[in-house]
Amino acid sequence: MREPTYFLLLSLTQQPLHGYAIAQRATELSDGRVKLSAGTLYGALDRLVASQDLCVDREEVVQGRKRRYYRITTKGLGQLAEATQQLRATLSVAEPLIGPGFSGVRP
Amino acid sequence: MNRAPYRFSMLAYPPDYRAEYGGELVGTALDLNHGVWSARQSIGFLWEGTRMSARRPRRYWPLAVIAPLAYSLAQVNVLISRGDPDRPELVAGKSLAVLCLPILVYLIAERVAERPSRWRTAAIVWVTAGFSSVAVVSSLALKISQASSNAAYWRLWPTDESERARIHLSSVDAGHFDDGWGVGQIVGRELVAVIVIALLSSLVLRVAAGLSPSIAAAVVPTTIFLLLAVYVAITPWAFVMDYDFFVGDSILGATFGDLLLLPVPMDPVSGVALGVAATSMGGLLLAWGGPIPIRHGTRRRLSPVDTA
Repeated sequence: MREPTYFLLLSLTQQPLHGYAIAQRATELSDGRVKLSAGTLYGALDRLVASQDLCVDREEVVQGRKRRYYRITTKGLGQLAEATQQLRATLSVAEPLIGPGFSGVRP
Repeated sequence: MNRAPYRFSMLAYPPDYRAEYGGELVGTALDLNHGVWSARQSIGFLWEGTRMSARRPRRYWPLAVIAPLAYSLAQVNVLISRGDPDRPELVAGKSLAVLCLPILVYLIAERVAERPSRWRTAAIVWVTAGFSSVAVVSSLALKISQASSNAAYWRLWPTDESERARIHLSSVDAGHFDDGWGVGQIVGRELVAVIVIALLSSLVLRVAAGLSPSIAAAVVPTTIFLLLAVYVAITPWAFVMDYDFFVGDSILGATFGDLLLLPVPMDPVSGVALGVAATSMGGLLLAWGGPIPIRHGTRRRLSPVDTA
């Protein structure tokens, strides 16, 4: 799973969000590393809805503009958990090899 | 807020997706950039829109028929004007036309897999509107075919001065076949071949309909090409003229020859054949109800119930 997709799914774990809020939350959670453009964001949302990792929770009209709120599904949570497990496994291998300087290393 | 620049880059998206999601996409892009235009957002729209359009070619499938048809009309013009069939733009056109055929075959295969109940109708249309037109066009193109094949033969084997070649070419010049076959006999044999192909096609489509969609999608295109090979083997014009593997005298055979021998310059009659073949396959696809539509937000193909 690519990093933008990971943070996109992660941003939806607490509550359903609309596109702009998802992009903001993903940037915040990734400490500014993931900055999704609207095209990339909606392309990813389309793919994740297609693979049933996400679903549309509701639609609202705000200032004449339609907003779809997306919700993570059980399958999406499973994918996220699996990806997190892989990251944890990578971390457990890398940390002892890198040694004391590990905490100072930024990806 | 100026939305116009985004509207331009949004043109990369499929029209129906743009209609459904366009306002939301542009609104989000403006929110992310505090209401001002951003090149990054525009590039993102162009990139993702192009990717999305490329994944959903079904809306544009008629282009896969139109492109070979346009190429065949260009070759008709070459035949009439006795021009050069191997001009670079025609070679490029032929490459494009040949690339279009697998698209049609794949879409047909998908339909076979999803909607087998209409296989009889589809097979009948294919025979009547497709292969029969091949036979009719073959008969009309007899004289042209003889002349162009003669020229193409010398282009392929310019040093062949054997007795056999000399006899064949002199017989062509005289307007007679070695075996004394008339046009009626030849067209009759073509039609027999067409019927054999149709029966085999129907059988294969029926068998493929019982397979899983993915297997049928692989089986049907492969079988269509194998059936074309059978057609080449039993078509009368090729062996009457005894041109070995060169089948420029058979319209459908020439198409198959063109597919196999793409880099080799062939005669313009085979160019006409590509257009006929594409139209034939387009007719088959239409008889099946067109390509299977894909609904936004899902990769699942619509079932026959959905499309009804």
